[in-house]
Amino acid sequence: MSEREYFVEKFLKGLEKLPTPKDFKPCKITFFLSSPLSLTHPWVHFDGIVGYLQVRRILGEDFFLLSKKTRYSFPLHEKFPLAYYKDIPCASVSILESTQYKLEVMYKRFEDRWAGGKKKIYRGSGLFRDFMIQHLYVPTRTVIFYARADLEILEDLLKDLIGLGDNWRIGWGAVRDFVIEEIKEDWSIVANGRAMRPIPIRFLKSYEDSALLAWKPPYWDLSNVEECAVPGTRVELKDE
Amino acid sequence: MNYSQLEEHKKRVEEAQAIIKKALQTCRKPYVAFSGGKDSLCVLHLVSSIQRDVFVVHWDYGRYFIPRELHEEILEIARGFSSNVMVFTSDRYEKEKRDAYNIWGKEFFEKVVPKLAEEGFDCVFLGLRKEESSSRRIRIKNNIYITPMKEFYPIANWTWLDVWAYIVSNNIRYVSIYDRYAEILGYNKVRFVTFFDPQFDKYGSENVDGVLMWRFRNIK
Repeated sequence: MSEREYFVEKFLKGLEKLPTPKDFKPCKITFFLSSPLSLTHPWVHFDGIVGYLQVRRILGEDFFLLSKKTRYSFPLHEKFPLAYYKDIPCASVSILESTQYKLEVMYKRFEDRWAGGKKKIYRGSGLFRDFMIQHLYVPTRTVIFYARADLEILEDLLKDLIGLGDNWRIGWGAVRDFVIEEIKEDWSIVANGRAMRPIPIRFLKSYEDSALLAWKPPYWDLSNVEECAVPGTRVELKDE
Repeated sequence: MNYSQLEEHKKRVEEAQAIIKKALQTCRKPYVAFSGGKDSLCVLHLVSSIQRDVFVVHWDYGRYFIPRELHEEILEIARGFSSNVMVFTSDRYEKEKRDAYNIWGKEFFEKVVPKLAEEGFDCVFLGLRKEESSSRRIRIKNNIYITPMKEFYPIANWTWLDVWAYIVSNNIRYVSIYDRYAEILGYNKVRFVTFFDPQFDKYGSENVDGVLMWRFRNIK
């Protein structure tokens, strides 16, 4: 069995065990952070987080063995706890307390303290290359998302979430707590005439501003990039 | 602005002007290497204030690394100093897109430099500063020329403060991207380099570009 087949088989078996969402309700999700949120993009996408958590739950520790070089397809389809409007996942981008970015610079350097023996190590290139890592961060205490979701499944999934944003593994965006509140209006895609997430312009009657953005998970996948309305700008959805 | 009134700064400006004047006496056909950045901008201003219509050479990194609006801004600034602005680029940027790696290093030296030499250019003014890195300090100290042309470094002893003081006190137009990045990085650290360029991954530039230049992350 190839590596890819192993992961796909494990995924498909695990997928069957996941609960199927039944009732989608509009909700507001508030995350309380205990450390600043590091970002590599102006927005965090909630559907991306949920998809990631589901795949991680299915694969368990194997998730961390996935090869970066291999492309896997993990279709969650009917098990995805978020509703869809046409093809768009009903989940907003992050709403932060502040958008005042700050900078923290870290250096990754090879240290010979634990290296056995003597050997020449190239630090300018290769595996032991030195890195300067610039973290842009936002000192926000809360991160808010809006979604239309199966609240029970969502709450259970979000318990696995340790951190938000970039480099949470080293402590950025550590999630202290979260609250899911059911709300009356669905603000997951459009709220008060403003886009709450990237929306492909083909779904819109009118829009104020557009850019080439990924609009569905995985957000790093270039095939998901399309001309979209920019989150926060005025839009009008096409009639049903 | 106050820094520009200091003797220390004035001396460095005078020193730069002296280097340029001396160089112009010995060179037949000089040019200024203008990247669009703050250092080469100072050099261009200094040289232009001594010799009008100096030749300006600019390397275009292509639309995958420099947004076209910014490229136009750079050219507008250069043309404000001289009518002899020469822009070079490579077809490989279009072919290789964001995977293009150090094309300038190959194409500029292999194709453009011989062409410039053929056209009679015999010296170049560069905006290198010792403060920038140890490799630049060594290169300046030992006069290590990387082209067959004689290189002059008028602002070799300038600090970042000298550069900004000169720009502000002379009211020189600079590329707008500096203000956007400096707001976060600070004017002492801000650099004008290509965006989303794998060559600068090791400096963590992509993280910053991803937030500040998000519109430029995906291009057609």
